[in-house]
Amino acid sequence: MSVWNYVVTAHKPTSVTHSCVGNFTGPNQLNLIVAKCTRIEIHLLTPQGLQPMIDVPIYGRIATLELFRPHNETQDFLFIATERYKFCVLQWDGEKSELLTRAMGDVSDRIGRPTDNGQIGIIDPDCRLIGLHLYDGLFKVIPFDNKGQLKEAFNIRLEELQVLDIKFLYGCVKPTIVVLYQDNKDARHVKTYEVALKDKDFVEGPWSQNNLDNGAGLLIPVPAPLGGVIIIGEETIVYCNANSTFRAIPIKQSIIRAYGRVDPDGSRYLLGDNAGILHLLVLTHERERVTGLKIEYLGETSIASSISYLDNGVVYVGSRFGDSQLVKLNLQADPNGSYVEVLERYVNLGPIVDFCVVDLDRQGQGQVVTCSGAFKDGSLRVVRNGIGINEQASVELQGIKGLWSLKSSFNDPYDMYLVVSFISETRFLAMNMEDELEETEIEGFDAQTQTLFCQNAINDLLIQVTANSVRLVSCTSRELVDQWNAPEGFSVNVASANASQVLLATGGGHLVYLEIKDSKLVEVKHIQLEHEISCVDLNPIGENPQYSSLAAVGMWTDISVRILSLPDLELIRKENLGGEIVPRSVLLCTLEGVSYLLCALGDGHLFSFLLNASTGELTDRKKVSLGTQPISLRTFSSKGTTHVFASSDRPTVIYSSNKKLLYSNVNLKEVNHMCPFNTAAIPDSLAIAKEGELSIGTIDDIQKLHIRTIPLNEQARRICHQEQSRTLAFCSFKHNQTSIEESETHFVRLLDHQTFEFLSIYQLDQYEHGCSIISCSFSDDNNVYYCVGTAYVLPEENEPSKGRILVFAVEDGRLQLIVEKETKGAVYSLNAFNGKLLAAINQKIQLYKWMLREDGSHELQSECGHHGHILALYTQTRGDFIVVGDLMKSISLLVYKHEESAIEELARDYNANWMSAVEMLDDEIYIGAENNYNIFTVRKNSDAATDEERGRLEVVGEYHLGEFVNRLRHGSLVMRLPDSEMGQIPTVIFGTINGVIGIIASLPHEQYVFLEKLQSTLVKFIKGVGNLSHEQWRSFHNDKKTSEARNFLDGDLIESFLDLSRNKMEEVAKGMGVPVEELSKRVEELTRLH
Amino acid sequence: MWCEAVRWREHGELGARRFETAARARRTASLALSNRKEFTTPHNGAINSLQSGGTYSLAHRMDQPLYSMCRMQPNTKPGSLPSTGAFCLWTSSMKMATSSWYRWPYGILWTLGCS
Repeated sequence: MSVWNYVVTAHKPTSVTHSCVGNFTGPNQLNLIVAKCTRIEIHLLTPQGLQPMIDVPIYGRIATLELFRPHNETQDFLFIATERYKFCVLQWDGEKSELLTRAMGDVSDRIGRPTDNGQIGIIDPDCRLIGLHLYDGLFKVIPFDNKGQLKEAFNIRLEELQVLDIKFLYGCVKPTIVVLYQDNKDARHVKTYEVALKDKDFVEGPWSQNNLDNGAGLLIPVPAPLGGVIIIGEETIVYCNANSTFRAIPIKQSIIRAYGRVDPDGSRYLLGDNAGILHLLVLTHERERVTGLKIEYLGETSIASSISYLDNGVVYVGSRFGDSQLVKLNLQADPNGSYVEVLERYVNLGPIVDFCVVDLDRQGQGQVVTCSGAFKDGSLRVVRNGIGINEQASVELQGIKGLWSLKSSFNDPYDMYLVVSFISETRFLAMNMEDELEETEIEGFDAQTQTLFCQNAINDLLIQVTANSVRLVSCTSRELVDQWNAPEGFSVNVASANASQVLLATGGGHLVYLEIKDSKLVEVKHIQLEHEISCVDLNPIGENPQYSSLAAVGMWTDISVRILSLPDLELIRKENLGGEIVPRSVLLCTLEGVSYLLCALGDGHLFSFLLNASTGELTDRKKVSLGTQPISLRTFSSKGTTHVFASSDRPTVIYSSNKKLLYSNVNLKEVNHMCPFNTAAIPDSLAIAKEGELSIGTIDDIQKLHIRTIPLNEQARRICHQEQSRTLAFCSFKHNQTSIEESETHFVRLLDHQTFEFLSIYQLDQYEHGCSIISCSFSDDNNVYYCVGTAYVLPEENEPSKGRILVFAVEDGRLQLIVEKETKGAVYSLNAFNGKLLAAINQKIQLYKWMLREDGSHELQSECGHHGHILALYTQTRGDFIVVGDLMKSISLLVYKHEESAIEELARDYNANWMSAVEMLDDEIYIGAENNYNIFTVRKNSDAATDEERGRLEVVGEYHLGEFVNRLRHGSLVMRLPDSEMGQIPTVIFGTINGVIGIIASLPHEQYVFLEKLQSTLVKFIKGVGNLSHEQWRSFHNDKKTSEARNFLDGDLIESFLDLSRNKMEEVAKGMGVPVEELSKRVEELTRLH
Repeated sequence: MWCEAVRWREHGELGARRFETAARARRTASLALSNRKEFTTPHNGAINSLQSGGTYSLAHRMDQPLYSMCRMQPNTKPGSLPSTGAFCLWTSSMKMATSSWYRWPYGILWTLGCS
């Protein structure tokens, strides 16, 4: 790997940090807006459920997301503030269906201590001002003017330093805030302040309340006329207001983190706690006066970080620790006593605290198995690039030339026949009464020749096209009804048909159009084109699913694709494809309501065009590479949605998401032909012809990354794969909560690496935590072991003073403890190192060797060590070198000297980076992630002239990722193809708290320079949402410095080039000085990295 | 407790900034201030301490992490340098002063005096 690195997101953040509901896209449209750290999603609530409208990145970590409506406005505006003190106000442009920036700015201050408890952003219910708590002791005010425009911001001194929450109160003549704070004796109180806008100061508010629940952490303002505020504690919920009303209710001890208001009058609220329990809090009231509080159990959800009540009992539960959910609150409880019905589940990988890369097929493509989730929502997630085929049946068949499925009658919902075409014959398979596929005959079909096309037709007919004829066969009698014969010397080369139309291309460029009328084949039109025809398609894309008004034709010689009108076969549009490769397949299709023309070439490239179904106009031409061999295109349906299967040496599914074409590879090596085969026995299955084999199977969900969830109901923390035993092992823990105390039980679990079946379990001691796990072998021992590092976390200790290293062997699918070694501290990290075991124990690096005792057993014996760290949390090794990621002291490089049995420090990075992950990119360059969401690279200066220079790791790359990285590991999500340049680029995978899976790829310098120029050009064409600056966003930033990003490229920005319109693409390409096709190709190749 | 704080940080329960603040506070609270010289010191080092490995540590601003300021390797090769203690201490003092001035412009909190 190299100094020049490309950072790209393979899986977007899925952890929900904020959500809100309002009329954002229209006065009568109800929207759910969800923030996932660096992205916002806008959904529209419809009778069919939540419909995604837009999903955009934000150049910042979202700290505040609030909808508000200024006076005299009919729609809500969206206020976003980022953790680096940028803000913007967005509104929706209904005509263009896009976001507009209404205001933006920077609310940072040169002085002030950033608040530790998280930034607070709130908006006065009457839209008089925005309040921000960003620095301890300061409350920033951004006033609105009478027209809803923002005025100049100012600060007000806030006496309370340990602020936990601030909210605006409703129904106050002057803007009034309520502040929940903690004093220097850890007691918690609330007090109110009026904001005097003219004086730019606080005035003491109408009331205060001292000595609240020690766990009070959340304020809920109550709308007028009830007014007041609800204070959520761990054991008590309190309501109080300006009229000295005080109501309290005890609750079972819990930490409530999220709430959602149910009623506009504020009488009911949904509360979600850290155990995932959903409660309904009711304010009982009479004559606009609160008389009491009541709380009711509703059921269990994911652990909520945000709750948004939508409408009609439907609630969105956003989660940081588990999958987010759309739930329905039923009036009647289910047998388990729950009123909660889960309607929809939205995958959340976050937090990814560890992962391993498992390459089961040894093809260079890894599955990433993550430790995801937290508390009861913990799980393992298996993340695989590409779509899997679940094979149900297969048979050996050589020489398949085509596949089609047929129904026994036109209106049958299921397929019955499978037509398999060979070079000189055709065979027919049918599902029998026992749901078995057996060979049969369709007497009216010609079985003695190759079939070019098959189709169900209207009037309960079947169509077969061969080189010599088109045959109509009755579904009921299976006898020939009518036949069209090709003229002598003009055999049919390619054909396409739908329920009522047939289009044939014969030698000499002849195009023959037939229609089925009264169960007869009628030749309607015949034309001769100037060149041979290579492919045709008649798939209906208009409103009539049985009749197409357009035909697509691909041509030899002039390498073009043409749109012809039907029935006249008049040329509407001719598109020259360029180059010398013949189109081999064309397809008219409609995906997500958008019509496309897809044209596949003989070299594996695919052109896509937007197609106007009424006029036949082609626009927005794009070209991608799907493989190296000719492609065959076929539509199929999965879960009610239409997709396209591209059969080739690299089979791909083409699908639409948010009106955008996406491509996902299928995890099969080569597919020659495919057809949908929807049977009652196996719904939505596919028939797939591979080399020498016909198989039938179902297809995974259509998405770029396929994610399988293995729920644990406990939290996995460290995971490791052992190829030799075909197992995975992980450390996990479970919370045990009784009425008296809370405790944890920690385990080491073993499971099968393919089926993920649980095989074995080892329970650690009381207070013993699993901290690390690796698979390793030792010198002079052929066995492979799991080594687990632990720590005894005793309540009375400030730091673990004791831990263990446990060595397990997998015998008959069970964990067998072979050796245990006590350590003087927590074993934060373990590495296999020179046939020995390297352990990071508190502030020390310790090397153990595997010693054979006289009795034949083994033990771990300490050989040497190195100290001088604050806390050695992360270690990686390569050869004799060790990289240590320290809690506070960045990265240091150690070397093991064999002759001296000593570990010495070679160099260190003298910046005070608080590390969260490290990896060695190669022998010279190391990468680290740190506490302020930055990544950086350092280089060893072996050739420097002085000891001082050699002792310093040079920082050679800096970049603000905006994500907290927990793990960096070498590996690849995609298959490494030896014939691809991208296959030679080494990659590192990272996982983050917010569920991001990303790729860091080291590029050759020449490519880096080219892409850096592209990034600079794209910044001018792609403006960030809210006009936030990309350069500022990507600058390396911590408490001590801010510096420009260097030697890292933003792959997300670069790959967004492919989302641009054709015109903008051409402008960018012009700025780059390269043809747009070449630029698209180079960027498209980068997407193959993930 | 480092072990638990690191765990809370990695799944987002403890925010990054709060983690740093808590860690600094813990480090500050654990400092042992002393005028007595020592040849060995715990990992979270006392002021005026001298580790046998030759690494000095110095605490100045309490909210800043400790740094390793300079490295003095013990002279174990006969004849390469004068072996008098006075010379060694003088050299150490000079390096320390230079480093202190360079890194902390607020002044030197500590000096190494000759015994």
